[in-house]
Amino acid sequence: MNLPFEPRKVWALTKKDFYDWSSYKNQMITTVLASAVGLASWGFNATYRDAPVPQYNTDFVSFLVVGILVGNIMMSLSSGLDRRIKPWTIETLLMTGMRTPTFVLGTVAWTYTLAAILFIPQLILSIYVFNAHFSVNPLSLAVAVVITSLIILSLSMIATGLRLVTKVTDPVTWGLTIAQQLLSGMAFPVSHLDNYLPGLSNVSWLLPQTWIYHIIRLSSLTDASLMNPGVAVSFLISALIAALLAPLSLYIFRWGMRRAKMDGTLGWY
Amino acid sequence: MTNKENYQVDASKPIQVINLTKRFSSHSKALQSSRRIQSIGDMVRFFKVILGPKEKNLVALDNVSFEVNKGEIFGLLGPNGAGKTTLIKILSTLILQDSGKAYTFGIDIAKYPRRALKIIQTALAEVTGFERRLTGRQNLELFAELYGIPREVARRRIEELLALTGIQKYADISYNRYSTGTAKRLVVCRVLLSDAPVLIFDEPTTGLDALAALEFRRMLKDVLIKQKQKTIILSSHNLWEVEQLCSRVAILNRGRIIAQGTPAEIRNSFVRTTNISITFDCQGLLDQDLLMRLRQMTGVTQCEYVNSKNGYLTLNIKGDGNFDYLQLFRLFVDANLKVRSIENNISGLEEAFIQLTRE
Repeated sequence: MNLPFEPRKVWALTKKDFYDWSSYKNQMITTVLASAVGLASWGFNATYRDAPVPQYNTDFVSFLVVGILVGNIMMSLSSGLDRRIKPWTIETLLMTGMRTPTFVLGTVAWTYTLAAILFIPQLILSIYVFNAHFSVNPLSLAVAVVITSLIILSLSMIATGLRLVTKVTDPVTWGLTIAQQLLSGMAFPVSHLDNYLPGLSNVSWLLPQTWIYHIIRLSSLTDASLMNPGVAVSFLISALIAALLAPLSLYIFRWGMRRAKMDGTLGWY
Repeated sequence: MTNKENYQVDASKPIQVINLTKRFSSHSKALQSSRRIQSIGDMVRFFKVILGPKEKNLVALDNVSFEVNKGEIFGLLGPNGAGKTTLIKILSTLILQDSGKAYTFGIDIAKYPRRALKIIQTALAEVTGFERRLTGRQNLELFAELYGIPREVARRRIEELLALTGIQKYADISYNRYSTGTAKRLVVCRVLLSDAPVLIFDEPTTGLDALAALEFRRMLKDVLIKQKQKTIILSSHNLWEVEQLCSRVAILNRGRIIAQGTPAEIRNSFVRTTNISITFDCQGLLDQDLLMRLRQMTGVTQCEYVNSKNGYLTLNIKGDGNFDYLQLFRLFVDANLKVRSIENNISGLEEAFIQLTRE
């Protein structure tokens, strides 16, 4: 029988791709684990579907819309790093003598800007098509955006620093993405996690992303004033996280850069 | 001649490399630890490898020292894996050395990389660093911004450089469409953009056709050295090119400098053989007596008749370390023969290189 393709050659190409995929050990492990985590997060989300969210005095659709809008920005930054750090340009870019934060900001700025621009049609769609209700406190929202930007950029800097050493997949970006999907309350309130494992929501509050979702939701869904002591404490903790992450991220990035230069692998992928 | 000399930091030297050493790990920790675990000892060793620093068993540079003078083209020669690219990347702040120092005009390159990069710019062999979907001009404009050049100055300088390298007509074409030669010229534009006084070129003519390579060499010597008074480090596999362009050369082998000096110094120190073709006026047949006397000359190992046409006769003479040019010329003077040309059949530097790197 004459087949329109050559099975032995298809097998050879498949085998080659498997060897290539499995040679990136971090990527191999994280891909397998991520598929399981993805299933769990969708499962948690599905069981919470359509319930009200008393913490933010809102309905599930409005809660979910804010989560997805913020999540899109955060996700695009971490995946943006993958695409932006190109081994064939990084050495030449660094040879221009630019400062460390300039390199990181320059690497993620467009992805961040694009995500922010895309935020507007997403917002319009969510209000007029999905009837999301917002109750915005402009001052709180402005402060929340500043804190969020600082935290996101710090996390990007940490991820970039580690990626310079680990190349294809860095454990921090992966860990943060997974944690975001599963634990940070993007698509369901973190308290819902306690139904599956009592006390799990406490772990959520250790994550910077949980605080990002929390302060953005407070300021955009509940008209939360910074004069309210409960709200102020949430903003203060978030600001403290940002203040801790900023110098740490600079340190980790510089460590990654130095390590890659010591290993002679700066331009490797 | 070798790297045993003592160097002191000299702020007038464009490049000074003192006892530079660099070792790399030849493979990943996973590979280092991949021996089968059969005992507790193996297990301990496995975790030691995984948790500990990588074993650095590959010597890239071993106690390398040299200086580059202002306004010269300094050649770096060596077989593949000799350590040339590692050395260039250390000078370009892309790799950190394990020990030793590299200075540019007295500035410690590893300690003050940003200051060093205002002085040194490098064209790496394997990467051009350009965004493939931008045009040549857009790429240069991007780099001008990154170098911090004021816009008006940048615009003027980009035009000058495009004209200088002869790629004006390709300036607004996507970089994806560039030929190897055009891409290399754009790299020269990028390297010259910041007006850094020290330029490093790693294998600049690899992949260029003969004409493009010739033009590149001409530009290096006539424009960059004579007009713009730059200092250049040139790494190349092309020994003829290095001999033609460089005032001084260092030969690297297995991470060590095994010879250093002018091409003539290296040639004279290491070349012990002669292989020349000599052409002289000769009407009629070759004088057999002359041929015999040439063969009997001190240091001559072989003397052969090559051809005879248009009143000229060519002989090929091979000799050993005792070969004496003066004796040869005397013989021709005595025989009243007019010498038209003497050609070296093998590049002296090439022969020295082969001898040195084979040892």
